Amino acid sequence: MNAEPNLPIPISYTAGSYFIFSIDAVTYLRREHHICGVLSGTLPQIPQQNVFLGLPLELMAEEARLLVEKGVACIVDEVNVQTDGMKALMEADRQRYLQELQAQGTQVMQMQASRKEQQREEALKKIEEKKAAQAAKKKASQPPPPPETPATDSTTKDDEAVVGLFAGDRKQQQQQGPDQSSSRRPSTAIASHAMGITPATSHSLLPLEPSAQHKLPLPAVPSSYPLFAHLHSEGYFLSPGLRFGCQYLAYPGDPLRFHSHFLVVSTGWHEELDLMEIIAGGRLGTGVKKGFLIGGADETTSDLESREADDVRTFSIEWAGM
Amino acid sequence: MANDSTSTTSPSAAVSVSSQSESKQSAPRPRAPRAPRPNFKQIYRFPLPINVHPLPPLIPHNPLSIVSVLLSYLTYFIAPPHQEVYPAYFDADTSSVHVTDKKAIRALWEMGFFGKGTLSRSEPSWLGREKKRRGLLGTVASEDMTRQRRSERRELKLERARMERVAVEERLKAEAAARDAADVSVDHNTLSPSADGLTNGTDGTAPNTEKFSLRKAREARYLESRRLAAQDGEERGADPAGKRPVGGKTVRFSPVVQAKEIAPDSAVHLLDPIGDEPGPQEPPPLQDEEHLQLSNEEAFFLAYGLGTLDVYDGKRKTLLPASSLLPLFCQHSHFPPQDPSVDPKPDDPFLVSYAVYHHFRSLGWVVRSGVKFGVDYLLYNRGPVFSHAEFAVVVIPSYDHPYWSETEARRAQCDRNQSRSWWWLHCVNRVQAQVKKSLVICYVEVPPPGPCSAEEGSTSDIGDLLSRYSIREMVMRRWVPNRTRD
Amino acid sequence: MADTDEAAIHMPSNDSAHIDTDLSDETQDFRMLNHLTFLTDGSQGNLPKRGEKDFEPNPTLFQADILSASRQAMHNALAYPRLHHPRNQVIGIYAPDGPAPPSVAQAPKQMDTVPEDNDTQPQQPEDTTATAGDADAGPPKAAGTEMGVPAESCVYVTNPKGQYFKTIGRADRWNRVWLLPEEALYLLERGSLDIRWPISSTGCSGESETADSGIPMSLQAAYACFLGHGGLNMERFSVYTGLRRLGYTLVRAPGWYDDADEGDCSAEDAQTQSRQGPGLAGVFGRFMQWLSDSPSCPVAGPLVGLGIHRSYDDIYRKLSIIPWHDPTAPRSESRPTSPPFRVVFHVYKPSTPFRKSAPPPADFRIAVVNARETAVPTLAQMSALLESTPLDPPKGVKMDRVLSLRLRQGYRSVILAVVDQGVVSYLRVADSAFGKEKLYKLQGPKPNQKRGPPRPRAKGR
Repeated sequence: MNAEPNLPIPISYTAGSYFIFSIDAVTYLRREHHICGVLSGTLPQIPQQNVFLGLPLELMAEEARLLVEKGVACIVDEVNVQTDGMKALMEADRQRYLQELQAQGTQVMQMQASRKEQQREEALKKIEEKKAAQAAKKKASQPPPPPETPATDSTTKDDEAVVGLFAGDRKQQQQQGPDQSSSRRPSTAIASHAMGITPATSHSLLPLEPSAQHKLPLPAVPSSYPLFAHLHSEGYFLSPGLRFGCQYLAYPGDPLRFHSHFLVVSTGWHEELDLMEIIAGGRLGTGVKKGFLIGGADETTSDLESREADDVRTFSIEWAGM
Repeated sequence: MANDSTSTTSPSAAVSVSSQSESKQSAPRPRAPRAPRPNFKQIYRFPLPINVHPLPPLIPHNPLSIVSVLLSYLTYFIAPPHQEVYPAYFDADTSSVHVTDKKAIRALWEMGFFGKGTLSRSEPSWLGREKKRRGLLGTVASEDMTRQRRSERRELKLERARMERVAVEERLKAEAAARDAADVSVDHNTLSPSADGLTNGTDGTAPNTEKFSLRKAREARYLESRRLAAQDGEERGADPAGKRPVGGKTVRFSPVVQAKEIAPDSAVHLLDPIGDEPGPQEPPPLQDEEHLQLSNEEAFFLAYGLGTLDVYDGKRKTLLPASSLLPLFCQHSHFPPQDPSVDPKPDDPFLVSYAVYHHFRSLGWVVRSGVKFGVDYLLYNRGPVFSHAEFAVVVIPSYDHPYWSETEARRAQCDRNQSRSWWWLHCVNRVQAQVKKSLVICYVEVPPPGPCSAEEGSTSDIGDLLSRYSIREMVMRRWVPNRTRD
Repeated sequence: MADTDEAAIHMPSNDSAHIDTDLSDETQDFRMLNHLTFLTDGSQGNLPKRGEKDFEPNPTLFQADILSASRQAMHNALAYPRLHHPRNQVIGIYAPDGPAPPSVAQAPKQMDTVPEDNDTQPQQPEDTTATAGDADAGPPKAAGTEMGVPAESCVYVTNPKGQYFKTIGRADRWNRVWLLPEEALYLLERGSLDIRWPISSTGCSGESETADSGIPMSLQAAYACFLGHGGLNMERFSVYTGLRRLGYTLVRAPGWYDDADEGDCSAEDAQTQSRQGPGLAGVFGRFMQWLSDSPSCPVAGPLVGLGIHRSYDDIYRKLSIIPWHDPTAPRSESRPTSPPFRVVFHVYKPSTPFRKSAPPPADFRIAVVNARETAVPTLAQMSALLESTPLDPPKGVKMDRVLSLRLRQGYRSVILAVVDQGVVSYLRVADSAFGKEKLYKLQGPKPNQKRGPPRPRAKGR
C-alpha cells in the first residue's frame, strides 16, 4: 500500500472524463496529495451494491489540473494510447504477455485450491471441537466453547494473498519473470488449468511511459478552480458536493474517516449574491452540522500569471435562527 | 399555539439534534400530555377576511323555503350587511405594508393568516409575551420556548466540545505512557485497530469517544438541572463508560472553554443577545407597539383581489387605488427601488411573484413567505396553526413566447433570469427534506409586453394583465433507487 | 405559525425522516466491507449502522492507526482482481467496427480454447427469435441491423452463460450475443465477462485462424474503447451501472439517439387546443367566472368586492383569473425534446418481469444530464421532456383520499439523473397541476359533509 508509483502518474482522459486505473496511484494520491476522486467502478467481489465501489477512480477536472500543475501527473489521451499500442503489438509481445497471465492465472488457481482444502480442514476441525465441547458440556455445564473464529477470517487472509499478487502490477511481473519458464506451454492447451484474468491496467502490455504525442494539455477547469485550489492548499480534502446541495464538500481529513466540515460554493468576485441562496445554504449546512462556505478569487488582480492563492477569500455562513 | 405540544419535549429534542447519529436510533419518546390549546377551529373558521351570507336552503316542494329565501334577499336589500374594510399604509423604508389598527390586525391574521407581527416571528404576539415577561401573565410564548431551547442546546455543545478535548488529551497521555513503558505490547492491543477489525471499529474505543462524551454531556446537564451536585461522584460511577481507562468519571469541567474550541458555535452565541429585550424597568402602562406587516403580494391581494384593504401612502393621507399600488409594488421589487418613471416590465419580480401568490390563494391555499427555508412561498392547508406547510414553492420565470428570443440581448437577459444552478436546486431540495416539505417548482410563463402598455401600463385592466401569465407546477423530490426496488 | 415548521426540525425522527439517507451518499469506511450486515440495506428493517467517523483530526496515534487501517482495507478491496474460473468463463470478442457476420473460416471452429458448455444452448434460440421480432425498435439502422442487432454493438459473446444475458444483449443468427458498449463495460467491470482484443486490432501477424487474439482487455482499455462509443458517455454509464448494481434492468430509450424522435406516447395525443394556455378546465373555469360576475369587475379591481357573497366557493371562483397548465388537456403538437433533456433509459424494477423480446412499459424513465454543463431545465425543456412520457394520473384509494399524495404523484413524471463528476443525484419531477385540485372545496365548514375535511398528515408535530 505504501508503494510509490513512477511519476508523473498518467491520468487517462476518455470521453471527457479523467480516470486512474492503477491501485498504487490511487492510494498514493490519496495519502500524499489528498486527492480522493470518486470511485466509480463495480467491485467484482461484491458487485450488487453501491456503497463500496471500485476502480476506476474518476477525477474532477480540478483534481487532474492540480496534479498536473504540481508535476505529479500528466494527462494521456487513452483512446489513442490503446489503439496505437495494440497496433504496435507484435506476435512476440503477445506470446510473452499471454504467458505472464497464464502463470498468474495458474498461481491463483493453486492458491484457491489450497484455500479450499484448508477451509475443509478447518470445517472438520470445528465440527470436532463442537463435538468435544458438547461432550464437555454434558459432563459439566460450564466453560463456553472457545470463541469461534468467523469463517470469513481465513478467506480474507487468502484474499489478501491473491490481492498481493496483483497489487503492485509492475513489480509482480518482474519477480515472476524467471520462474515462469517452467510453465511455458502453448496458451490454448492449458486454458482450463489457469484462471482467466481481466487486469485493471494495461501497464504490462503497453509501454509504461506515454509517448509525447499522446500527452494532452492542462485540463480545462470551471471558474471555481481558484477556490478549489485554495482549500486544497489549506489541507482540505474535497469531493463533488452536488448531492449535498453544494459544489464541493470540504473534509478536514480523509473522507474515509472524517465528516465534512463545509459545504462549499464558489462565487465570482463581482457576482451579486442571491440572499435566498445564502439562506438556503446556511440553513442546509447548519441542519447537518456543517458550515456553508462561499468564496472566490479576486479577479481584479490583473493577469492570471501574477495571481496568487492568497487572492481567494472565503466566508463561512451559519444559520442562526430568527 | 401548536408549539405548546412541543414545548415539553424540547430539551431532549435539543439533544437529539446535536447528535446526528444518535438521534436516528432514538426511539420515539412518550409525549407529555398536551396543554389545552385554544379552539383553533372556532377562531380560524373563516378562510378569508370577507363575510359570506349563505342563502337559506331552497327546497322546491316547500313553499315556505321560497319565502325564507325571498325574505333574506329583502333583508339584505334593505339593510345590506356591512363588510369591514381595513386600513393600512405603505412604508417605503421596509417596502411593505403596515397595519396598526388592532381590530384589523386580528381580523387579517385570523381570517386567512395574512401578514406577520413586526416584533414576532409570525402571529403578532408581542403584547402577550411582554406581559408575561413582566409577570403579568402565566403562560409561555413560543418565542421564549425557542430561546430556551437554543440556550440549552448551546450549553450542550460547549459541554461536548469540552468532553471531546478531554478525551483526546487522555488518549495522548495514554499513548505517551505506552511509548515510555518498556513493554508496549500490553497496551498496544487496546490502542491499535486491526485492518479489518470491526470489533474495534464499531464497539471499540474509538467511536466511543464520541458517544461517550455526548452521553456524558447530556448526563452532566441532567444532573446539574437536578442540583444533585453532592451525589455527582457516585452516580457517575455507575456509568458503564466509566470503565474506560481514561478515568473520565472524576473529571470536572471548568466552565471556561477556550474560545477556539467553541468557534463553530460562537455565531449562535453572539447573535443571541440581540434577541434579548432590555431589562425590566418601571413599566409605563403597556401599549401594543406591534404592527402587522404585510408583504406587497399580500397587500395587493387584499386590496385588488378581495377589496378589503385600503392602502394609504406613507403619510397615511392619500388612499392608493390598486392601479397605483401595482406600479408602486413593482418599483419596490427592485433594490434600490426603481425610478417611478420606468415602466414595469412583464417579468418584473413583483408581477411574476404576485401571479403565483394569487394563483395559490385562489385555489384555497394559505400562502406565506418561505424565506426562512430559502424558498419563495410556503403553502398551508387551512393555515399554519393546523398543520405544517407541506409544500415549499420556488418561482422560476419562463420566456417561451417568441418575443423573448427576438433579439440577442433579450435572449441573454432571459437566460440570466430563468437559469438556476443544479447545486442551488439540490440545496433547496435538501433544506425542504430536512423539514419534511415537498419542493414545488412553479414556472411562470411571462407574456410579451402588452399592446396597450406604454405609459398607459398602469391604468390598463389589471385582471387582463394577470390573466396573460400562466402557471405550471412541478413537484420535485429526491429519488433514492434503493427504496423503489419493488 | 412558522414556529410549527421550525419545530419540525427539532423533533426526533420516528418514521420517514431518514428515508432520504442513503449509505452510498458518503464515503464509507472500507473496513465495513466484509460485514455483510452493513450492506444489506435496512430499507425494510432497522437502519444500517454506518461506520462511525470522527469530526476533527487530532494528533493521537489512535486516530492515525484507524485511518491507516481504513486505507489498507480500501487498498485491499480495490486490488482484488477480476478472475474467471475456466468452468464459467464467458468470453467476448471486441468488434471495433460494429456488428459483422463471422468470417467463413472462423465460424465453425473458433471456440477451441473454451470448453463447450451445452447447458447454455437452450437459451440461445429464444434470444434469436426474440431479436427477430423487435429489431425495429428505434435505433438507427446500419450494418448491424440486418443481423438483428443494434449498430452500436461492439462486443460479441459466443458462449453466453449466466443470468445477465436474460436482460442484456441481442443475439444474431449465428448464436452470437452482441453487447452494447455499456453492457460490455458493465459486465467486464463486475468480473463477469472476459473481453478479448481481436487479432485485427493488434500488430500481430494475421495467420491465426481465429478473431480472438487471446489478449484480455484490461479495465483501462475497456474504458478507452467503450466510453465515447455510440453515444455512451460517463454520465450515462454511471447511471446505467449504478442502477444495474441495484438489480434494475435498463434499456436504451429512443431518446438516446440525438436524431431520433420519441414516439413514446404520441398515440394518446389528440389535436385541438393550443399547447399553452389554461387547458379545457381552465377555460371552463373562466367561463363560469364570467357567468358569475356578469357585472364584470372593475378594471382596477377588486375582483371580489364588497357586495353580498353567498359562499366562499363563489369568492374563490371570482379570484381565479390566472391560467394554469392542465396536463390532461390534449395538446396540438408536442414540442420536440432537446438533448440532454430527454429520456435515455427505460428502467425496470428488479421485481418487474422483463423479457428482452417484449419489454413491458417502463417503471421509470430517466434523463441523464451533466451537472456542470447544464442548468436546471427551463419550462420549455421540462415540459417537452414530460410530454414525452405517458400520462399517468394518480389513482388508488390512498391517492383519492389524500390531496398531498395526489399532488406529489402528478400526472406525468420523469427522473432526472444529474451527474456531477461520477456522483449521480436523482430527482423525480412530477407534473402536479395544483389547479386541478380546488383546495377550497375540500376544506372549510361544509354542512353537507359529515366528517371533517381530509387533512394532510401533520407528521411530527
